[in-house]
Parts: sequence; structure tokens; C-alpha cells
Amino acid sequence: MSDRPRETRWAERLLVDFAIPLVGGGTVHVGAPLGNRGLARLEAAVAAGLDGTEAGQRLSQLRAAIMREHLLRCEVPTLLSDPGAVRLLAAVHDLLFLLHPQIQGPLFPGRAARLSAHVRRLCAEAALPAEVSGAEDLERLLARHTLLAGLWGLSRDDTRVTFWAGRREFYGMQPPRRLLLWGRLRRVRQERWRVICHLQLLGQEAGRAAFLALLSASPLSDLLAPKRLDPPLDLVAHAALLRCRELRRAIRSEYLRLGLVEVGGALGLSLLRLLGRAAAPPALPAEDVHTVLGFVCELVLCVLLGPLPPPPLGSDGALRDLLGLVCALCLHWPAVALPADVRADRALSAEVCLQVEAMARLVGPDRLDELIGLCSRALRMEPAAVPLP
Amino acid sequence: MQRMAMLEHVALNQTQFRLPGVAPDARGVLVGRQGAVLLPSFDRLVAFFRLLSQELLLDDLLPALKILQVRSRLGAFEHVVLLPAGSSHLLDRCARAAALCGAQLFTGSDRHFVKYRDRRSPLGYDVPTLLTEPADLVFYGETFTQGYSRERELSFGRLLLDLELRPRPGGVMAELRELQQGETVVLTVRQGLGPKVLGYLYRHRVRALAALLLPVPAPPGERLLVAPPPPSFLVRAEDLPPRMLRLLCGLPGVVVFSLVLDQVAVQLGYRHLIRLSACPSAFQKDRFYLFTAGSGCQVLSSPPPLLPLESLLETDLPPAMVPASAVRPVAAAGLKVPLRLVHTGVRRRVKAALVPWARAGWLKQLVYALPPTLLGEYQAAPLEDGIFVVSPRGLDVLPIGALLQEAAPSVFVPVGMALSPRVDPEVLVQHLGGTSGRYLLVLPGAEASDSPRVLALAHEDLDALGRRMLAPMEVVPRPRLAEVPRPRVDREVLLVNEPLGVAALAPLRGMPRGTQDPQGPQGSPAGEGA
Repeated sequence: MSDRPRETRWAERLLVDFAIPLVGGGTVHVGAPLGNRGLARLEAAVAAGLDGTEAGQRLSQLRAAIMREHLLRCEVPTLLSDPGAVRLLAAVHDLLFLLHPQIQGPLFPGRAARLSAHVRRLCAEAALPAEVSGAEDLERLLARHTLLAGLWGLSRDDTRVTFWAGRREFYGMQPPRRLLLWGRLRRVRQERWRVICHLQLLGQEAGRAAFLALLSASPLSDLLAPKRLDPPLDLVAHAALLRCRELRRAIRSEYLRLGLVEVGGALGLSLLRLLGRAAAPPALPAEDVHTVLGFVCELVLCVLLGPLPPPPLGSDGALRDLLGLVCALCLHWPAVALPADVRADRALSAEVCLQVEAMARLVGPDRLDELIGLCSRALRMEPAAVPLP
Repeated sequence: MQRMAMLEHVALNQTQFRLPGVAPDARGVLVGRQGAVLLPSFDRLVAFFRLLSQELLLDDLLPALKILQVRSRLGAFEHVVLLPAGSSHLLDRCARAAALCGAQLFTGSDRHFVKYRDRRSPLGYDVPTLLTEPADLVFYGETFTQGYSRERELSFGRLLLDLELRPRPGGVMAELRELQQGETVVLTVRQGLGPKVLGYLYRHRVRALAALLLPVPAPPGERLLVAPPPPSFLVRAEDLPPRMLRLLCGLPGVVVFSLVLDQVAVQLGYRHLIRLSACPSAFQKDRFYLFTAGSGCQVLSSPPPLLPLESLLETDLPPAMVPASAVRPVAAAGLKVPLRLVHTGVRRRVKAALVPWARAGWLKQLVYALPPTLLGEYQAAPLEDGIFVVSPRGLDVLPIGALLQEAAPSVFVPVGMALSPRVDPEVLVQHLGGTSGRYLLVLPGAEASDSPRVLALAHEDLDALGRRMLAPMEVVPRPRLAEVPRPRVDREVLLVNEPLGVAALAPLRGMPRGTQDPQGPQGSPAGEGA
């Protein structure tokens, strides 16, 4: 290792301590913020062949494994082939430094705001075009996602040590040994808990802005995590991605893997918000609204027409509203809700009609009428007089 | 009110809480069996239900919903709405409505309620210590802990009935413009005007039903506090033309209502503060509710016995009734009419086919072209006469063999033919001995004059066409493609902060100053001194 340049050794350690565990699981070590100088060092190391090192190859393999979960055949991603990915990696590292206890301090009060602005600038520089125009764009989008996929599950163990004279809390750090000595005499008590890092970031103003910027630089990471508590899922912002056939299929498969019961609440709330926005001026682009509605209808129909029984509605109003909206769209706006091949297949459309009508009965006629009214206002189209055959 | 240490943030995978009766839901959010909305005044209570009814259907909540008037130790009266906490999705929506009307949402069970999650603590809050003072309900907020004693319970149904209607912007005319053609409206017409108005509607061929509402007299020896409404006709009209609606709206003695639910009507030009269509179960099915501006809600103890208009109008009866003469059935002679297959030329949907063995090769070729859904649906059975293929949804793409259509459920006859005499299908099935667990094929006899042959085929003799026609194949095992890796095993990703010196923050000095101020990295109180 000693014959390699110093920059490469430094960058290799960054990959081993930070990037590889973030992508493949393990303990993610967050040290000093990289800043502009760290980014320049990382870029220099990538140019000097960081991808060819053992750590670089391991990172590429882990990223390729995630990509192949969504796209059957794809090239192994490297940092050299996508300069934006290097910036994104640096942005994630510096974003996580916002959770470091040392970011707070009386001597330098504006440091979190500065770091947030730096992260946002990196994300803006790494932004991808909104439309996916070819296989290369698709792979780059997925490759970006591989760097952020682990962010949703990233957690931190905190410790509170209470002793006779007071208490101290340690965030993502072990308490020093001296604080735990003479436990019985000093009445030392330790409490441990675990927090979700992205929720902690979203709880800060600086962290929220930077985290949202990060999601806009990797929109697929935003779309593939519908179960999160915060920020709310906004499907219409990603309508351009949903128009890409391969991505649409990949996202649908992921949602089906998670289960409609799990994602239905988030999707239902997202659709209600979308239709509410579409119904009020300024109007959203009709093409985007139709794309999102079509995607959700396909997803629900995959479940309804599948071998498993339909999801129980229970007391989850959002899931009920989601199914109600799909029923309303399939019965009264089939051109929006159903793909052309389903509409052309008489047997299949009859089956769809059967399932949708059964689901509509579960949703209840009153709520269904309200949802039809909402769809009508949002789509600016009267419900079709003749429902499905 | 007691000031206490701040609430504790719930951590990921935390399973033990100081607050009794709470647990994390599927998303990890701390939820009790109930949600409780603390409202400082009655107008906020109404505002909360108004917002909530816009947001969701209240029917799911009503069976376990309670509205309590409570009193704090300082003697201030407040209101608490207790909701069943089905899921955190539901409570999220309630929290939004509560925040909009200046209320707070808590979650818990029975007696202790802690503040529901917010952006600062996305998984919710736990309490550092429980309040031990005697109180019916205890609320733990971020800045206070408050015990309340329960004063009385308010009924949600009563609240709906007691609220006054509010005029709509634009009044009746605006609502008339929104009213769709053919929408049902309800009219109340004073008894004196009744015959004229009913006659008017009848002459103009309005589809309407009407009933006479009479006030219920006070029980003997008692006196009513409120004067009962005067006797009037209640008319339910379905396709009242707009010009007639405008005329009736302006006619004294006539009040026009729009139907909000089957048994609830609200005066045209007004609206209820709470969206009534969001809470149908609050209204009893066997009653009828008329919400009138200025005079509250008139509840009819039973749905009005509506009759066609002509029944309520004066008619001329014939001078005398002609009695009907009684007849008795006569025993029928033993008539035995044989069933025949006759050509009718009427082609119905092909549901089965009998493919002769000479055409079996064609059927094999066709199997390659059939889509998988049809291969699964089509059932086949080899018979002496040929291969019988049947599908309950129809054989639209099988153009070979003798095509069969259904003369009765599970009874097949050749296409274009029917059984004569044309008896009812049920009678036919009974005559042929029933079709339970079998199909019946009625085929022409060898000669035209011969009576038809009836073949019975048990359902268990049928098999899916795809399975029946498949030839055996050799199965060769193959190893998994190495290029496509197995799905990842989800591994825990844990963040560890490295201890740093002051010099480690040097990169921050070169960065431009941001515009936002942080609130702190941990979202929980800083530790006290060591």
C-alpha cells in the first residue's frame, strides 16, 4: 500500500470506512467534513485509479449488486465514469457531519448553515436531467441511487450516562471509560437508544434543506423508499421517471415486494395531495398527473389480479382512499387508469371490472362518490357515462 | 398545570415506554389505543370536526368516538375528542386538522396521553415520569403536564343536529346553478298549498312521491315546550326542471332541500358546518332528517310513507265496484310432449365444442396459438364422440368441431339450434335430471326424425386444456447464472461519529455562509454538566 500515492491511500480509507458500509451495510464512520479540499483530493484519487484498488472494486461490486436488483443487466458502475457520483458521495459524507456533536459549538455558530449550503451546492452540480433518454441515463440514475440507498436505513446508537453529579449524552460515540468508573459509588447508569439518521437530519432546518437537495440529485432514491415517515412522497415530481418503461417496472416491482398494505398509506396520501393540487390553480401538467395516476392504478391492479387476496382495508383510511381512487379511475376514466393493452383485451378488462367493482363495494358508495368528484376536478374531465365493459 | 422536564424522544426499535398502553406501530411510530385532541373552546371543537370531515370519512371513527367536556384544576373548561387510533396514517391526518384549528393531538390509552409525533420527534414522545395526582385524563405536552377531570360527555349526533346552517356564498341561485339535471330534491309544502303544488307537479309530469307530515300531539296532561311544525306535505322529486325549482324556491310556504344522504336533507342555499356526507352512520337509517335554516333540524321518527302524487290528489271513483268472479283450476290431462332439437338460426355465445377425433390435430395446432389465460380456462375431456372443450367464459377463438351454445346453465345444444317446446331453462334442467356436478350435451339424433341424444359428462372428467394436451418433456437442471447475483441480505447500517479535534473543522472556514440556522444535531436536550 505504501507505494501508492498518498491521496489514493487516503481515499481508499474513506471508501472502507464510509462508502462501502453505507452501500453494503456495516459501521459508517463519519470524520471531519471533506469540504472543497477533500472533494478535490477525492477527485484526484479517482483520476489516479481509485476504482482499480481493492476498496474501489469492492464498492463497484456492491453498487452493481443493488443495480441488478432493479435492472437485470447493467455495467458495473465506477466513480471515474460519473464525476457527479463523486460529488454526491462527498455531499453525503458532509451531510452526515451535520449529526456530529462537534458541529454545534459556541465559537463558530454558523457552521451547520455553511455545511448545508455546501452540500446543496454539490447536489446542484451533480443533478441529472429530468428525462431518461436512454440506457446510459438509466444506468447512471441507478448508480446514483446505489450511493444513497443505505441512507434510509442508517441509524445511530446514542448513550446517556447518568451519575451522582449529573448526566451526559453521547451521540454515535462511546462514553469515555473514566465516566463509567466506580459505577456503584458514583451511581452510574447507562441508557442506550437508537435513532434514525435521516429523521434526525430532517428535524433540523439546515439538515432538511440539504437532505432534500440530496434526494433531488438522486430521484430514484426518493421514489424507492415510499415507507419513510418523512419527507412525504411526492410522485408527481418524478413523473418523468415514471414515463420510462424500465424504471416504471422496477419501481412497481419494489412496491409490490414491500406489499400494498405497507406502501398503500403513503401512496394514498400522496395521491390525495396530488389531486388536491391538480384541482386548484395553478394546474399541474396534465401529462404528469396522468402518468402518476396510471402508475398507481397499474400497481393496485397487479395486486387485485394477482393470486393473493386483496389487502384488508382495516382502519387505514389512506389505504381505503387509495383503493377508492383506483376504483374511481378504472370505472370512469379507463383511458387514464388502464394501459392500452389491458383495454384491448376483453377478457382481462372484464376481470379488471369484476375486481374493481368488488373493491368499490368495500370502499363504500359515499366515499367513492367523493373521490370521483375529486378526480373529476383534478382531471378537469367529467366521469365517463359508460364504465368498463 | 405542572411544568416538567421535556418529553423524551422515542428511539428506533424502542420497545419499553414509561407511558402505559402505547406501542410502536408498523412504521415505528408510538401509538396508543386512542388519539386525544385537546381543544380549548367549543368553536375550535366544531372547527376540528369541520376540517376532519373534509379530510376523511368519519364513519370509521364514530363507533368509538367520544367528545368530553373536561375541567382543569384551575377550573377552566376544555373539550377533548377521543378517537380510535387505528394507525399512524390516521393520526397524521387528525394531527393536521388539529394543528389547523389551534389544537394539539395526543396519543395514549385510558388515562395518560402524550403528545403525538411531530417533525422534531418523528417516532413520537415518551414521558420521563407519570403524573400521580388524581385526574381522569392526563396530558403530557412539551411544556406542560396537565390533569383534567371529566365533566360530561357530548354526543356527536346531538352536535350535528344542534348546529345552525350557514348560508352558502351566492345563496340559492348559486346552488341551483350547481345542481345537476335530474338530481333529487325534497320539498316541504304547507298543507294549505299542498293540493295546488302537488297538482302542478302532477300536471307537468314530474316524477315525484309525496307524504303528509302531521305534528305529533303532546301526551295527555303534558305541554310541549316548542311548538310542533305545522302540518305539511313532504315531496321527493327526481327530475324537477330548473325553472320549476326557481319558482318553488321563491314561493312562500315551500322550502326546497337538497338530499345529502338518503335520509338527510339540507335546505337549498345553506350548508351544514360539518360535511354530513362524511358521517352517514351518525344518522339513523329509520329516521328522516330535515335541516332547515333558522329552525334547526326536524327529525321524522320514521321515513315518510311516500306515495305517488296521483294517490294524494282528489280523484273521481266509479259509482259501483264490480266484484271479480272466482275460478278453480281443473286437473290437466296427462300430456307428454317430446323435446326436439330445432333450427332457430339464433346464434348465441359459443361456450363449448365437440371436436371430432379426425380434427384432433387441428386442435393441437391451435393450442400453440392460445394465450395463457385461455389455456388455463379451457377445460377438455376426451369422449367417444370426440374431444369436448368447454369454457365458462366462452370459446371465442376455437373455430373447429361442432360448436355448442347453452340452452340452460350447463346444458349445451349445437349453435343455431334450440330445444322445442321452449320451456323455462329451470324446468329443462329439472326434466333432464339436474346439472349438479355435470354437463349435459343435447346432440341431434342420427336421423332428422330421431329424438336428440343427451350425453352427461361429470365435471371431474374434465381437465385444463393446457395440461391435457402437453406431451411429457425431459427436465434438465441448470446452475444459476453467475452474472445475476442473489438478492442482498439487508445488513444493518450504523453511524459512528469519530472524535475530532478543533482543526478538523478547518474545511468549514472556506465555505460561504449559509442562510439557515440549525436547530441542533440531536433534536434532544443537551446533557447537563459532568
